[in-house]
Amino acid sequence: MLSRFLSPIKTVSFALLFLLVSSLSLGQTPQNEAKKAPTQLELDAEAIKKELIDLNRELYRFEESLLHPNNTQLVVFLSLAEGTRFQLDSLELQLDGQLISSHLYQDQEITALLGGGIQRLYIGSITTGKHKLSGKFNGKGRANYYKRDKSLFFTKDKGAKYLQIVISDSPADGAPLFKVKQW
Amino acid sequence: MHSWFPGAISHVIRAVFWVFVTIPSAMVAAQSQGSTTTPSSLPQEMTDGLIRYALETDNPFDALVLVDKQAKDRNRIAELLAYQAFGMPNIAGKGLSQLEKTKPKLSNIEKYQLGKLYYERGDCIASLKAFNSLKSRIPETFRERQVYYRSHCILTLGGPVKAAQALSQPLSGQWVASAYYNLAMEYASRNVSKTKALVSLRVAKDLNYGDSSYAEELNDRIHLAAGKLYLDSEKPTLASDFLKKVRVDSLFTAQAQYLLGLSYIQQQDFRGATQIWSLNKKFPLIAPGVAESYLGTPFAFEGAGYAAQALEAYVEASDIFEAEIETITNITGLIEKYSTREVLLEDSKKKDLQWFLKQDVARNTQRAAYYKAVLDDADAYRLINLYYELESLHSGLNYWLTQFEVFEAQLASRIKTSVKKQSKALARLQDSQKKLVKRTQSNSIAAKSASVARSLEAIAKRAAYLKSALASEVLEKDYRPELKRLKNSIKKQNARLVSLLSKLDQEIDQSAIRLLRELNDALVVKYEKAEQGLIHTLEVLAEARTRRTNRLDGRYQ
Repeated sequence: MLSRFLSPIKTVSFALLFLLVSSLSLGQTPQNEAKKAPTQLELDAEAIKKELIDLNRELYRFEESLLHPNNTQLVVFLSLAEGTRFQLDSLELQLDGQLISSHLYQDQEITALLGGGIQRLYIGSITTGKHKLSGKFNGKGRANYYKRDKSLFFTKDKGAKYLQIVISDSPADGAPLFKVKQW
Repeated sequence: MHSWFPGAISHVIRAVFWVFVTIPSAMVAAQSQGSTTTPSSLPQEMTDGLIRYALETDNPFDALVLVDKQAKDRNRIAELLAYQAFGMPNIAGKGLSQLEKTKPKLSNIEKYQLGKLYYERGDCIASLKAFNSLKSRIPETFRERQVYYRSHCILTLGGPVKAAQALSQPLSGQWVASAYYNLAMEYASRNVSKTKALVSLRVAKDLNYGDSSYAEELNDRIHLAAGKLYLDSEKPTLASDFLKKVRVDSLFTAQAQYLLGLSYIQQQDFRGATQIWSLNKKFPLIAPGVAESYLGTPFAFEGAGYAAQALEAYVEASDIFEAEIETITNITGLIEKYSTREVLLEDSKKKDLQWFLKQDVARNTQRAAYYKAVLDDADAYRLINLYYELESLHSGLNYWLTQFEVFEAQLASRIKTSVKKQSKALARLQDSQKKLVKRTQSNSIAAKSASVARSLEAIAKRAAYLKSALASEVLEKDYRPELKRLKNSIKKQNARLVSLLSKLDQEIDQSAIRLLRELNDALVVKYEKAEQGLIHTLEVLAEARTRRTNRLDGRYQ
């Protein structure tokens, strides 16, 4: 008996179903968004952003001149040599036995380093004389996982000291190599 | 970035690392350990590397702070890219026009950056021109992106066949996989060849390795799209296989379950369809695929031969749509009373918001659904993005004010210590000077000695210097005026920001209310469909129960 009245409902429901399915269609193509003329609000926002960038530049300079004057300043940077396969996972930096910086790396940061970016790991003030910078580096090489402890003795003279840690691969086995450029 | 989520199946991935609930953090990043340093004091190579790092890690604000006068010439394109990324397209555009006039010689990386900049600005012809001018190889990580940008532009300008040719390079990763996904969507939308679309999806899946959240999301999209394509091709078994692979906690689960129900219907498995669609009831009604599941359920019950349940399902759908329409009216009222930010975007302590909102966005699915719906709208997203960018700049300025209070306290403390020390030293000096003067007066030989006279003179000078230092002029002179000037600038900019934020707040509200109206209208249509279905079912049931003789009886006509 039910079959007698199923068919008309089915007809309606199929029409309904068609509507539902078509509302979930794939039919959009990748076109660039239509360019809209900027509103006054957006123009104001841009203007204020520009001024704030300049102001922040000044503020950073001022802060640095107060907190880390040039004659005591130490800055440590990190970069990867071009074509390095070593995937840095994490690092820890110690200065004279004190932990000064630690970092866990994300894909995006590794990409930035591989693309020639330089990361500032630490900025601080130290006295003139001899110091020891140590680093623990963990990461994946071409075939193995590496944990490396490296140390560097350096002398801080008058004027700012910049140390750049450059990581590259060993051509022989792909193990990470560490060099430090002193500026 | 625009909303790519208008229907159930998202169509194009334009920005690969898009996060649907992005709160810009330019200033937050700038406040942390700080990647900025005094650029002028750094070697050029270092400054350039820092700028590139900031840019590639999505910190355009840091990059712009680093680009000072000295670094500007060497980082022209990077600066323009940073302006574009920091929501300053007009300044980027002006810079680009100037650059086009001067036609400078660009390095390989700069050519890549230029292509990317044009792509971001939607100028595909110029973008392709810049990419085509690349003579030698760029780092692989940039090449993957370049392939993505190029294929997108070729897809826009020349169609899928040429885009497929551009993609035929030995590269993999999420960028290339996303490009193949877009290619598949283009094939699908043109209805030219579903097979080509499916092949492209398969390639996208093979190239999409890794277990990052983005890789998983892309996999869900691929499975959903493949399922939909097989469903359209009336291959429900294959469709089911793909749709079942969409993760249960994915953004696309409700859509996948709805489509899975449809594939069961195609296989005449009505019971399976009702079961899978009933699972969608746990999702908020405005999530894509949920309202459709409510409307599809009665049909599946009818197919399974349960007329009474079909009626109940229509009643349930009708009730739930009506209730949601009421919810939308309430939310609209609350937005008018408070603001979109308070009602949807931020935590609120207000009592009349508690019924609808909880502190935790993740567990409050209804709020999360409206939150997502608002952010999925391109206009609303743009405004909200701008609001939080400016608000983070505002917080950044407040951070500096706090820092300056600390500086001032430190300065005061240094001056105090200095004054104390100098007072003692001055007292000692003055004492010694007096003694010496007495002794020279009592001893005539000393008065004739030039060296003693010089010493006395030096002591007198030192005392005079200390006196001036005592007034702490040295320290004051160095820092105090600069501190004052910067504080005034911060206060001035803060006032401007507050005014701009208030205007933006109003625009966000207007945009959200418009969106809610659209949602309301769509729900009204669905509600009417449920009501029509209900009436129709009742009519058919009534007709079936009416005796044939009655139907033929002229008195009942």
